Amino acid sequence: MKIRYSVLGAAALIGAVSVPAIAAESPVQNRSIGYVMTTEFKAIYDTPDGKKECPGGLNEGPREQFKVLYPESPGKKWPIVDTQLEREGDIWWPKAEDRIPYQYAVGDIAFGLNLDDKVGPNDFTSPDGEKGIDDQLQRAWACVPNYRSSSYNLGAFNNWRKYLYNIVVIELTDVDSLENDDDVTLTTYRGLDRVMTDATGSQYLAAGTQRLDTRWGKIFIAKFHGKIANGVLTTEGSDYVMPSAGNGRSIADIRYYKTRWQLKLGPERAEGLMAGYMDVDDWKIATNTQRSTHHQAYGAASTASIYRAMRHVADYKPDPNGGENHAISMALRIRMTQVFIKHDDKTVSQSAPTKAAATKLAAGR
Amino acid sequence: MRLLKTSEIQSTFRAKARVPKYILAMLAATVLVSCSGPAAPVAGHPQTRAVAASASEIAIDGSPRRLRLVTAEQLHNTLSYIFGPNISPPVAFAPVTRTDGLLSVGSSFAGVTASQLEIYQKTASTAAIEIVNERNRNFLVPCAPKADDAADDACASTFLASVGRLVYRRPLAQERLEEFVTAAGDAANRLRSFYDGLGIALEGMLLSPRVMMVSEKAEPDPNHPGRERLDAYSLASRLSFFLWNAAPDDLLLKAAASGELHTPKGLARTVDRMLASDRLQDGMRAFFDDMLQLDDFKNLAKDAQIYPQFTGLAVVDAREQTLRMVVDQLVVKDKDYRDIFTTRETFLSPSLAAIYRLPTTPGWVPYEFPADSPREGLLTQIAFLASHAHPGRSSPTLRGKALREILLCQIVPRPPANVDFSALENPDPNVKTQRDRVAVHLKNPVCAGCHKVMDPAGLALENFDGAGQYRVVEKGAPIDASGSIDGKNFADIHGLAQVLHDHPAAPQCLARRVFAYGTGSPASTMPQAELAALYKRFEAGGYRLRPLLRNIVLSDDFSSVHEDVPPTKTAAASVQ
Repeated sequence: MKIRYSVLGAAALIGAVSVPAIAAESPVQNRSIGYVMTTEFKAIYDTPDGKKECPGGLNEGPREQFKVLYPESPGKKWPIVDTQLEREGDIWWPKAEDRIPYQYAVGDIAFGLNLDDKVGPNDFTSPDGEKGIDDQLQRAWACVPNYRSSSYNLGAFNNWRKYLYNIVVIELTDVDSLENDDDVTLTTYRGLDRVMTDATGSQYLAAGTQRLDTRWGKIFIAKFHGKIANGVLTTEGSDYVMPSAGNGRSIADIRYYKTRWQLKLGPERAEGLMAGYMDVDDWKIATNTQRSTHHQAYGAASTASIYRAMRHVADYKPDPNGGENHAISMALRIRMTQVFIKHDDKTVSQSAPTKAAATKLAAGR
Repeated sequence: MRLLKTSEIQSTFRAKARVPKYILAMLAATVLVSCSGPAAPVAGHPQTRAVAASASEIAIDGSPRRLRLVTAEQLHNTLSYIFGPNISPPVAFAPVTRTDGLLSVGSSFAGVTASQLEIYQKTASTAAIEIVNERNRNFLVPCAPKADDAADDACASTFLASVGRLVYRRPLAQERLEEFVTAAGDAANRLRSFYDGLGIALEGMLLSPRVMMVSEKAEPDPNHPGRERLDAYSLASRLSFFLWNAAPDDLLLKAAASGELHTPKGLARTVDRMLASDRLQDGMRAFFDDMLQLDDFKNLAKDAQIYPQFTGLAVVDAREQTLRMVVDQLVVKDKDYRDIFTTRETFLSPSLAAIYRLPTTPGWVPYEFPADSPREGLLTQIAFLASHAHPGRSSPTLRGKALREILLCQIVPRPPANVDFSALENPDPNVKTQRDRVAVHLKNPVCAGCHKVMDPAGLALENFDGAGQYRVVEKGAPIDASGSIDGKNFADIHGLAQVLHDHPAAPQCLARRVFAYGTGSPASTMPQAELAALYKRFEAGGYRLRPLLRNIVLSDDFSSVHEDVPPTKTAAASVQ
């Protein structure tokens, strides 16, 4: 066993000096370490002016689209049912083709992971040069201001996990070393406790404790086999349901198929990517229930258009009746803070995904 | 009838006691830690000549009769006990000066400023309004007026007589009660509201100096001709504020009224009831909060960039943790006082658990550190470690000084005014640990005398940074936490905890502080023989707190009083 945790390492250096045992205060306890997600946003690759990936310009939002679809002209009176309500209908029941031309991103650079272990013609290359990156969401979203790195809305996504329902906890077990270990298990849970902030108010506090929702949150429990190399955890793929409640109220969980994690691990923090095939319809419901058109308009995000674009480029979970896929490859950039995990031993799931999660994941549309 | 005018109240409050000169002289004489050598002996310590006086040989000196301020917490507890926990006006009084290690003693030497009087008035007004408002009046006023919009002297008298006895801590004189009833009636008729009138009378009652101050009255002691003792109601107040940190309850006042408190059996019966009450926990919380100087936490601040784990919530919880541990060990579990230096039992909250790096659950939960944990006893709790450190780094000197002064009742002289601190800010990169840094103290003879008394104890706590977080290295260099105190060597914090546990001055210090706290008099004014006898009984009782409290309050010294003149045998005299 090579525990590289810095304090342990330092303890080994002490030699003759009497050093009290520190096992009780190490974040790695019983060969496991927990983290809670504090930040998540879609990992979109963009350039400052957007001309490289969006040569046709950026997509317009609901307000601009409304003016195009229902132009004002002298003497013309638009009834609500043919304007606002019609467009609202497009948001919830998108038509096969949107009436507004859509700007897809071009280029071959994207963040993400190789989800199918193949290098295909539609795959991207990561900024680090890794081939086979699966991230079709880059095509659908990179030209939407709301998801670009300059968007004010990224701040909102940064704080998404502060809502109590949205607490995502991962537990790494069978950990012999946070530096190198070829056989570890990552288990996801929904946590029950608010994440504490530190004295500066700008960082999340490490070494907090999370209780686990193993009663109503079975759907969020999933297991991933993985390995740690040079301090970076990489897992194999497994299906996962992420808790998602907008503004702490509207609940619309999102399924991610064949999800993989790639995290740089530390004793207090972990950060990296969670990548998988996101269920597009889950995303639509979550987006429409959790953020109003009014709010999405600030980021020029028109769900009616974006949904159609996502379905066009979706690359997983084919529709059983033929046609477009229902899930789209993507990656979340995430940051996590170390927490201790309080298990309720009677209800901890031993299989992944749980039966409840598997049932929902398997449910067709 | 008239309410007390502000000018009258101010005049009464201005009757501010002055620090007697003999007390200052004795305080100087009890600077027991010599800066030219190791810690000087204290009574009971092997280095000290034995004080062999038996209890029967001890002359009764008693304590000075005191006029002291009621603390904010005492007023809060009193109102809560009388009217229920919902009556909880925000009470924040001006701090008093710590005297002889205790704020409680300092409250005997405090005055009242105009602004403090204003705070009293707001507190009294807020409480009175709460008590008679529509939500509470049906529960707290034991009668209904004939009409809500007019005076009702009978009902007002019933309420004010009952409440007045409890807040005045003795029955109201009939004449005084009639004044309050008349005032309530006048106000009720003017305001056309019985309850508003009652509230105004109640506000005046709560604002009385007799409520906000404890004025002890003496009477000739029939059992000791020529001496004086507290009258029964003053004794009841002294007992209650000491043991419960609140005014006497109904039973205690009845015991005072019946004369029971002035009979040995009656007093013992009352004391045993008080010691068995849950209110004892409140009383001892207040005592240890005072003795351990945890009020410092009100002003405690750390550099958030250096100690991000030390949140505002952690500051509050650290104080609470220590109080919970001490009360749990000594009152709830009735353990040996010395165990607070070595116990692994404590309580955790989420904010503290993050500093200790331990899992926990929401709220306060009991926790026991495992045997291999570096955490053991009071010294390793965040409250002690963080409050005796700098905002951005630990301080072996401050911690050693606190250990000496707070826990061993030894006084370390203040540093000279012209001390040169620059030597401590050594930019030499080879100076990494605090041990390296404070070594400069010992190179300068002027500094060494005191620092060799303070620093070794503090260096044993260097495995904990300025926020109380555990560490084994400082700037990459391993930390050596070995040291010695009064000839006892230790290798680490566990050794220090054990040395403190076994140090005779530790329980003796507690006995001194408890007596001083209970009587409101500096321990330095206490006859050494009485202290020695008290300590012997404490030792014989297994260093348990309840027997110590019982011995103190049942002793003639507790109830016997004298004017503010030096006792016959003082600590100052006995340490010569």
